[in-house]
Amino acid sequence: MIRHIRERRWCRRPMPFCKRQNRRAAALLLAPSLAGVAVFYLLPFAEVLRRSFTDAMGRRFVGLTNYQTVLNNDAFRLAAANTAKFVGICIPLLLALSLILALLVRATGPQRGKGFRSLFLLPMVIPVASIVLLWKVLFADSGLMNTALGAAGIPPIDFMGSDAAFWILIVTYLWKNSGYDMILWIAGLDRIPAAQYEAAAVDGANAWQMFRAITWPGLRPTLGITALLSLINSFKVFREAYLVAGAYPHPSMYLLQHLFNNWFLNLELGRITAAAILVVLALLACGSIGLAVRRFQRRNQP
Amino acid sequence: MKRCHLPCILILFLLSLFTLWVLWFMAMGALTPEDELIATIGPALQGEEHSATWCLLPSWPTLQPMAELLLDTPIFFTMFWNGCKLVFPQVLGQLVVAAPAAWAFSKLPFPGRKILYAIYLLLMVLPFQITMVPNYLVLDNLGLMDTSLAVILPGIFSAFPVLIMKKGFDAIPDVLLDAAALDGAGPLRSFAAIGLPLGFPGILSALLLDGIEAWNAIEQPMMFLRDRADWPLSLYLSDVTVEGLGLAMAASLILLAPPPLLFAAGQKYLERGIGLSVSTGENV
Amino acid sequence: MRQLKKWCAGILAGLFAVTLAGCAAVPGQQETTGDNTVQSLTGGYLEEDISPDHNDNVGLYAVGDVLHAVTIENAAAPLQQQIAHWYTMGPDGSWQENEANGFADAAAQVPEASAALCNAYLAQDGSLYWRITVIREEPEKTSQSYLFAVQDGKARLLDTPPVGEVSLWMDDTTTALAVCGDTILVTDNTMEPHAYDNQGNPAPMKFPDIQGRLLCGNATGYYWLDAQSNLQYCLVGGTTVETVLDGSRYALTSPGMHVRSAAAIDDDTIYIQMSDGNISSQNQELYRYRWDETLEVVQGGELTVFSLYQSRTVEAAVDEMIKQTGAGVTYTYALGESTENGQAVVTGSREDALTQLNTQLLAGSGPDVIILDDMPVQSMIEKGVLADLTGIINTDGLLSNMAGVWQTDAGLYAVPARCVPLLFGGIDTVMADIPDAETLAQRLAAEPNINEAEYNWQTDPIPLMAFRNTEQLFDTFYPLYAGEIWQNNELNAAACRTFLEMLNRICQGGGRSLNIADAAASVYSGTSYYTPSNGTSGSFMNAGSNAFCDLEYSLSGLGSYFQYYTEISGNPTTATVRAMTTAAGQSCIQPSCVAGINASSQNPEGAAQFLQILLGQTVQEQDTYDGYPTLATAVQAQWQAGLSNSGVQSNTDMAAVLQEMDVVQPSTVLRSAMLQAMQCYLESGSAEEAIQTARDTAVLWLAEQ
Repeated sequence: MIRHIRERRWCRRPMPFCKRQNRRAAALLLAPSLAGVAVFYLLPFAEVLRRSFTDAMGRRFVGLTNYQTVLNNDAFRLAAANTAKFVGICIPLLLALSLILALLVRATGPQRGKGFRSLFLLPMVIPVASIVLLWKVLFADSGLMNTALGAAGIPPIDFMGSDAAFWILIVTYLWKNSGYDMILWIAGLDRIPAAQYEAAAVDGANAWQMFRAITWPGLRPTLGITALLSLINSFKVFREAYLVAGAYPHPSMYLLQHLFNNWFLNLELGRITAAAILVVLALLACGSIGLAVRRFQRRNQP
Repeated sequence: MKRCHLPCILILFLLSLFTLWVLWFMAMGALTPEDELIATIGPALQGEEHSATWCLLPSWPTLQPMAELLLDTPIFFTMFWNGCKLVFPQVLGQLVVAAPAAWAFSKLPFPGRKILYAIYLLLMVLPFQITMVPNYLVLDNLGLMDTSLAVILPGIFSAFPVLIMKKGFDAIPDVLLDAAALDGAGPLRSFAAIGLPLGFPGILSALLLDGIEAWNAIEQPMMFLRDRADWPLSLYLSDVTVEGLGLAMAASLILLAPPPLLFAAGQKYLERGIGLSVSTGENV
Repeated sequence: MRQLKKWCAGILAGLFAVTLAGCAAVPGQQETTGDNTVQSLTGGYLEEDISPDHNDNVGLYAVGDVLHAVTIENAAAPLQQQIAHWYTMGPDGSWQENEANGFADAAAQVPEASAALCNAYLAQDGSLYWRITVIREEPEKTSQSYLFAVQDGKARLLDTPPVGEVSLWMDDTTTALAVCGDTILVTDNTMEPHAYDNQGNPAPMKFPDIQGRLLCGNATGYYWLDAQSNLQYCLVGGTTVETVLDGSRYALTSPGMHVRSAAAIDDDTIYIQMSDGNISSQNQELYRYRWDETLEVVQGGELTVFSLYQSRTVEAAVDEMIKQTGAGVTYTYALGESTENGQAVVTGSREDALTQLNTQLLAGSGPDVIILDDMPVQSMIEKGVLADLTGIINTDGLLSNMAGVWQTDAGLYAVPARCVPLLFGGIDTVMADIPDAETLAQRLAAEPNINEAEYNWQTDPIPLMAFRNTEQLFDTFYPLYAGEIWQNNELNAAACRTFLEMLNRICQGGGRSLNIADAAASVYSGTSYYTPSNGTSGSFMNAGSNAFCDLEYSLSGLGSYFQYYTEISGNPTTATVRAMTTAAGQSCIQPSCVAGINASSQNPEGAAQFLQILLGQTVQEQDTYDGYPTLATAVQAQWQAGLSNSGVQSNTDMAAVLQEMDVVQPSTVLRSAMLQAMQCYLESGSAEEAIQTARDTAVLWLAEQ
């Protein structure tokens, strides 16, 4: 104990542990994870970067040819636009929807809430193949949706062969992931102390004002991670789309991963890696814009 | 908030109606005889003229598809066991590898922490197709191709659980660490004594979520396990045709079963998983 | 409530654990998926040819330790002219004849018959039985079997067979019989095995998963031949299968020969009789296989061969390579193919298989030899995945257009081992009248209607040509016009419209009729152009027409068309075959079974040797029904063999015909886009809609290039 107090005297920062101790401990704790990540994730990423500047087999250096080819390629433009559209529509929609769900579920109280939580989480665990089966049964030309529409007197819609395919993709994504995001929101909501709400209620604020003043600011930290996880999950929607509509679906459903898949079958690894790096750069750009906006907001806050 | 109990429940019920229908559909589908399945929903899969229909209950409920799946299809069990062989080591490994890393990111300031964390996040975002060939190269050079380790090891070192566990650890108030330091615990000790017990819900929820990911993984086993006898259950339903419709329904239902069981068991932890407060409702 | 939940959770967890335990306990099954491998064994079986001086072998039996062979001379002749021989193998390995075979006596007791099938059976107690099946044509086709027991050289007609082996042997549902000590194994006509005791009573027994033909048995077990011509062995009552002989290494896979019968002596000596299936050819061989511990087995290097679909040509080359060099060749194909209602059905996903292959190739590993069918060959060449074959492979004897498909200034990267030409042939008057595809289309459109229910093939006029469904019609004409329709990665609307209208005229105009009465309408047969058969439902297409124009896969079968034409027209035809061309001179021959060597192969010499064998006379000469040979001498050999089998003469120089044809490689994506357009056009009648459909289907693929 005496030793500790003496050490604390030498440490400038009001932190529990000293810098040296921290660094040593961090190194030890991080070592296995870093080693694994370096071998299984960093190394492949570096190889991807390298191959974007070489030919497909990775032998000959070709400079920026791959990037030029990719940027001039119609299919890439279409796929990138579709993916951007998908992400741009989906993520805000998902965040909003899951937030509403979270608020509703919390409002029903702890007991019933549990049931609903599991219910909304269930779509996430349904295996991909079952979703494919479901999709086919529902949205095929003679599927159940068209039967239902027919019963209501509406002419059948060609779901898979028209722009409706895009919206089906979005609906599937929302359905699968709303439960997941809802859990994240609920966790974030739980962290906001109830006392603040009680104080506001005493002051006579209504629900909307409470939301704007207390809930929304309190959820900001959760927003970041939820958005990121939703982004990651949005890439996973490819597998269902691929299993149902094949390698060449309706153009409205044609995502970057379809393109990568098809290019890969033709061994166009140079193009794939160049396109992947472009996507990463785009994400970094969005991320830094987001950070810059946040910093700007924080500076403007009282 | 208590006023809007009933409307809230109603709205939630309506929103979850689709999920309930899907569950009912699969459950009934697993109990419907094959010919009735082909007659009712088969047309959707065969692209025929007349449209599919669906009845609330099967006319002749039968356990035949389930029985056929469970008793007559040994490959199903082999794949089930393969899936378990792949998932459990991954989950355990993540516990050992990711939890300390998450603690380091959360509570131990060191130079370059933010940049390193950002790199972790970035690596997580890349879809599998992009890194497939380099992954193959790495695994081949390590001599791991065609073994279960080819799927397990990358899974263990995934950045995803680190992210979630870090969020869980973030919620542990710093004062506890101060108190522990005063009591003479070093950073490692406080991890073991405070981080693990208090962050346990976060850890568990990360493991559960990742376990489900691993259970449903398709690309990695298919690419890196060449021998079909080693394939996990997630690859069983790759070809859904009209032929094995009853089997497919039954298999879907069974595939669906383990995660909700795990949910039910780890219910409390999963919900409070991320962002736990030490005691309920107290502000810190 | 909580207690209840805990109980439930506990029970579920328990069930889960039990299921897990059950998984571990379930024994691994022998997998027969599409991933098939033919591997070489280091076996020590010495193969010796010990054919006795005999003709048609009608029975090979092992009684005790002695081998007996019963043969018949003049098996194709009328019964009274057939002579039987009963040979016993002596301890010195020579054949000794036992004159008292009783056949002449038995034959004398059978009423006069022009055709008779004779089988002999030698029971374990040494008594010989004859079954003579007489076939009578008038007034209707009937058959009657007589059973004779031989005693002291005399044959006695039996009304009922004695119980046990003989009664099982006489049973009409028995396809194969093996005696294993006290158990008799029988396969019925669904190839299901059954076990009986030696009184003929059923004795239930466990069998392994037998995929093949039961051959014979010894005291403890039984042998059978699997689909890859490997000899398998299993103990009676057991389920473990042992591969005794690897077919590839022995005469079991001699081209053109099949295993007739087999017998096994207890000391692990096996006798196998092979024939070419033709009674009158007298091409029979008897081999003895004896385990020799000192036998040196030549082992060549390891070689891996890969293809997406199973290729019999490759399998033949693998067998040949193993025989020649003893190399350890492993052939793997990724996808299984079967036929359902006349449509080919593929199990497994081509994209997944190709992704796996590409991953390996891009990482610098992969199989040594790649069969490039349905793969992006041009891409692979550009990326440097395939090795340059110049100087390594000798392509001298190949058809020049085939050898030159992938020959560039930079080198030769892939060579097709098979080709699929679009050929045109028929009766002479028809051939003279139709010079090109457009004329053919006009004639087809002008054909009279055929109503299947009323058509009488013997009296009504025979149609010009017949197609199984519209897809086949499409495939006859599409390759000729594909180049015009898709120019520079774009759809040429005018050419497309001309093509669609031409097909539509054919479908609307002539010969439209119903499909076969009770067969389900196939997806592609919206308008099916039906061929009348000669009464049997198994008739080949084009058997009831005056001409054929089709993508041809079997050269040795080509002559049979002309045999038929001679029959129905009554006059011998000149059996002229030519390439179908458009008026502009475009013909079509598609390369198939395209082989290339992986640039990162670890065994390039072995790979080169394999390719040379694949393109060599032995393999090229075999008709594997997956295309025509690309070796000119093999083309001539197959063509002549087919003609002589059909008794037809021809002046056509088949190699010259094939060599002149234009090589076409239609892309599958573009083909299916055009097929959809055609179906759209036939349904809606609007060319614009159809063209738009084609464009839409292909737009993404074209954009990606």
